[in-house]
Amino acid sequence: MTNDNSLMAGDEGMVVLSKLDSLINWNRKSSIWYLLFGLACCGIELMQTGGPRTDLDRFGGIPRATPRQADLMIVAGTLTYKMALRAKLLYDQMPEPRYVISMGACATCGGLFQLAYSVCKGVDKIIPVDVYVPGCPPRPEALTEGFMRIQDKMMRERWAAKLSGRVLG
Amino acid sequence: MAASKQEPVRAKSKTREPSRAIHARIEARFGEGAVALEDAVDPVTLVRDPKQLIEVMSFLKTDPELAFDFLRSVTGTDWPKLGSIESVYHLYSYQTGQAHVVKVRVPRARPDVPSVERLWPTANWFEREAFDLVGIRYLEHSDLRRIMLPEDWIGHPLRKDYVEQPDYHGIGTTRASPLDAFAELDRARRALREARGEAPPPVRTSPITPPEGWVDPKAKKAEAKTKPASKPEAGSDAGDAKGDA
Repeated sequence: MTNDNSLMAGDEGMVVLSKLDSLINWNRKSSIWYLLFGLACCGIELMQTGGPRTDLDRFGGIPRATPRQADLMIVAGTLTYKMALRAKLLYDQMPEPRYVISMGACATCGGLFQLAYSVCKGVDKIIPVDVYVPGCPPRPEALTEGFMRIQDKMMRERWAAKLSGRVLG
Repeated sequence: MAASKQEPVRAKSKTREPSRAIHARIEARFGEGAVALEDAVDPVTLVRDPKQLIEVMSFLKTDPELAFDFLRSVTGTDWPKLGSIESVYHLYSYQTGQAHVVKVRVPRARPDVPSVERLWPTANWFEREAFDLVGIRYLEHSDLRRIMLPEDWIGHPLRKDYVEQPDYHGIGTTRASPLDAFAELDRARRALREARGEAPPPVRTSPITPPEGWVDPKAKKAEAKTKPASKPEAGSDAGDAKGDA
């Protein structure tokens, strides 16, 4: 456990003391299952990020083929209006809490194709985005960085307070 | 049917002759009133009457010398100034290795073209695409729906007078430039500065110092302009020669 407040004592077995939030968040950030959602050339770079060289698996990132098992949606590529409605549907099918990475220029603002009649000018027009990763396409290192920013965001969640109703979640 | 003594013309090079020969054969069959040769860029056969298109196309397919067994592509072209739309067919023959382009012109207000789907089944998707993007209505097409854009899309985007809708299902179709935000920030800062009576910030100069002996090419140019007399004898050699003389 990475929390400084934790205390290990162990004559008879191990005892770890920590805040409940840190425990929950640490668990969550260590197994981010992301939805396979490659839309264009960024999808290729997303696959590369999942491959052995940059290896998203070491963060517990595993691609899921269904939104119902996914914590994170990586919108990788050019989003057309036709696809935008589907993206919204997929986002709605993801269980909360859910996070979205907008990968690359196209997903962020329409990118190179923003003057095209068929291209949605940014995925944030339809769903809330947590992290924008710039690039065209972003290198795997950049996407990994975005993934780690999602982890940071997860570590700042306050579930215990939210569950007790003291903080509006 | 005339037995073909001569070998079918093969499209060996980029020359226009093979296409002209093909057109001549079509013209011989249907007459000058039915088809026209448009030779501005590449030789293209224009079928004057859209109603005759199927007849001409089946001749192109079944004629043993032409034998166009493959429809490569169907595209649409919009000519708003002429008030017409063209449906363009790119044909290829695997038997002879020849290619030819046929087109048909219809009024913009009523772009009805007979479908060639019965001759080449691949035309199904091509014609759906031309319908989707240019809005050509293919008569007797088995399934004339949009192929790429959503079914509820308004308009045909490759028409020259297409106007984008302000939104699609509530998704706005415009996005503010991020530079606008910077300009707004600049304006706000200036207003604040003026309200406080502060002086504008100094203009930033490049922190890079040029290496020793470097001469600004712009200054050099300006200098050369001021004394045009010495221009033809520029350089040290010319100066030496002058001194000798």
